Amino acid sequence: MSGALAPDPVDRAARAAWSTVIVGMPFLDSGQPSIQLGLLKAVVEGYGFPVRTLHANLDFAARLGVDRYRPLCEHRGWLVGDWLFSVAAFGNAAPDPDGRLVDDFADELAYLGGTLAERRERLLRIRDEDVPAYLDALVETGWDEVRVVGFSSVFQQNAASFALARRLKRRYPDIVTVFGGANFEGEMGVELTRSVDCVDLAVTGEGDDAFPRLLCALAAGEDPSGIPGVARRVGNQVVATPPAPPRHRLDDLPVPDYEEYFERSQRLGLLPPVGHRTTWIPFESARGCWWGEKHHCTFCGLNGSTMKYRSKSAQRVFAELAEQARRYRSFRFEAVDNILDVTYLNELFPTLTANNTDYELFYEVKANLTRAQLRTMAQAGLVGIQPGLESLSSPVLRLMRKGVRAAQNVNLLRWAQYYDLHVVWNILWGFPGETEGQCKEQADWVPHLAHLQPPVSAGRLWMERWSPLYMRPEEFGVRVCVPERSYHYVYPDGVDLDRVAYFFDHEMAGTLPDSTYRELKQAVEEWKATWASGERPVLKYWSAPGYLQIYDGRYPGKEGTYTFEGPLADIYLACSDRPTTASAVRDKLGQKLPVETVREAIEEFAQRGLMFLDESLAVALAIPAITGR
Amino acid sequence: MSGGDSDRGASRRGFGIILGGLAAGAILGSAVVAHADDIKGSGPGAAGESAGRGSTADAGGLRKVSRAEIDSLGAKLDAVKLSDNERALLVGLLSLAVDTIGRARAGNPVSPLVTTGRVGEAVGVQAPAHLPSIRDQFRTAFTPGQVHDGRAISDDLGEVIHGTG
Repeated sequence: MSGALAPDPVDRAARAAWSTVIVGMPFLDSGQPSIQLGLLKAVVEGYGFPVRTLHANLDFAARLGVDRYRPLCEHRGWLVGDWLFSVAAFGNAAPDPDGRLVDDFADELAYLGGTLAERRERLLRIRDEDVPAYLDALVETGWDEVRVVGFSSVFQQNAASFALARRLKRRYPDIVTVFGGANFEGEMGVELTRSVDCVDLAVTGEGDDAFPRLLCALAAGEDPSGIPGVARRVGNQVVATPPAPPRHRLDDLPVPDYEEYFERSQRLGLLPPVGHRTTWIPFESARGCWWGEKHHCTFCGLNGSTMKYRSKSAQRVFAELAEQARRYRSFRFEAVDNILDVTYLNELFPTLTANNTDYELFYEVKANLTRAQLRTMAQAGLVGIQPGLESLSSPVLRLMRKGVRAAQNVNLLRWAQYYDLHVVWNILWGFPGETEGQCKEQADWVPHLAHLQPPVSAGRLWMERWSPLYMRPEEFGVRVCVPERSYHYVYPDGVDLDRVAYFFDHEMAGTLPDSTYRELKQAVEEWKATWASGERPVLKYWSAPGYLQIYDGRYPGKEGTYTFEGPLADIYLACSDRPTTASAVRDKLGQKLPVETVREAIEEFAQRGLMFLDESLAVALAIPAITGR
Repeated sequence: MSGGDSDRGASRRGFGIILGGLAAGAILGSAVVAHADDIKGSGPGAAGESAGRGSTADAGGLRKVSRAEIDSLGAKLDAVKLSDNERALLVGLLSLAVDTIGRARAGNPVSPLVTTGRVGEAVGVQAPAHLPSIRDQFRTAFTPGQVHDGRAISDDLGEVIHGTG
């Protein structure tokens, strides 16, 4: 492993005395291990430190019950998770002891279920009874020998992490706390180190070199000020060093160690003690975003200083999956990558297929994947994708700089359906320059897409730190950009929210009001409701040479079969594999038809909702009835 | 019109390109045809050469025109010295004709025929049999009714397959 400095005997003895615990607090999802914890444990162990992980989120999930815990893990969630731990984290300085958040965000928190009064009673009981009892139990045992506690914090983990750190430092004043994770990237980590007294040190960039080097400095009694990407308080000031460039060679990283997650989960009764598990094991095959390096999607805040794309070799990924399947007896793997390395289409996936592995895989992908590429991945075990579709309108996609067309998005949904891939996607709106017509056009298309998987949600874009919208407000006409108001219910006055927040309330010139999107939102809700009911609409075709039948079961009470022969059958099938133009169809059919004829036929198909039109592109909407080919 | 800047672009279009619209149709199988007498009467020039490359009149006195012949005609027209106005006029007439024939072939005729001006001497589109228009094909394509998937394969079918193996 690169950077795992082989300690000399003196160092080894010193490091052995620096017992370290790496903690994952609520509201980390309880259903799978944390890759941050698993990876850092393996990294730190390589440096010779005694280290264990503590998935403390599991204890809270067990206390509340998983069904009540998991809804609180929403990444956005109007910070209700952080709010639940705010009093424990900041004591008298907590800004909302009376629980105003529950009322002020009554509509937004409706997803938690129950009436407002029930929600209020339940959330306050969690905050005032469950949280203190949980934290007391956590600090009770297991800390006597511990010198360093590392907290990995992503999304709504800050307040719970501060709450535990505060209690630990009160009871074990010599413990050094080190915070890291996406919530501490860049100036967020600097400000939290300045303003939250239980934060001794923060890692403000990638942690797999900075964190062990920090531990080495602590063990050696050295000044950590020379370590890149570390913030620390010196008197009333915070001294921070810029992070090192992102790690290039990911093959050098160790395989994450999730053993303690499974032990704890099983001990707490969250996982049954069975021989074969169905847990989705997180794995990392790449960091950064190769698309974002070229054209950063305007709304995306996922990569601050780590956009540079890097990936593990296919051989390394293949070996890692095999090792993790053996270790944890699960064959389900979720890639935490922001975007699939397209070289895996020629290397990793064919290798998995050739070796007859029985994995189930999930990947985030770019939406321009072809039918053949999806087939390759599905054959290798891909069962779920997150393609970042974001819109059914090409002009809106251009405003986002997504680099795909609406027809490609629709086509991806078609072939994902065909190859039985679960698709996680959203429709976003609120970009400067959108028109009412673009919005209406999307709403009009939705009923024709009823046989394809609906989006998880449809709504206004989130303004995220690090996104181009946030970083270059003048370019996009951003008039107002302030920390999302729920931060005021979590953090004390002394915290500069402008420097801590990840989500921001915003106003932008050239955007449309919410009322414009009502029809689209309603159409999407109906689409989702139909799928949730279990009665999934159908649009499929059977073809023979010069002959085509399309069964349309999308509109209840209007089901029926279209039969086409000759050129019309040929035109439809020519638009099935991928979006194409009328001229390309004519060429594909050997120029037997004038392009006007092709265009007229395409328009007739589209009028019946049998094709999706996207400017000059057309794509068939029906899916072959015989699946999996 | 003096052939000024406004239509210079149009007037410079090659005749071969314009007539290409007919060629695409010729491949379709519905042929661009003319009365044989009209073509025979044009002497040893274009029609004679076309006939020499294999075009023949059918029993009805109609003559099929091949794509090569259409291309050849386009090339010859391109070579003719014309004034800007003459060229613009010919471009306009040919474009109109090609467009009309194209619409007729697509099942959407603007007029039944494009005539040469003399009764009985028509230039038009002939299909081997009557083809319904695209709109008509769509109009009759739909049969209402639910379709349910049957069993993928029956035990009986399995035995048959086994028995023939």
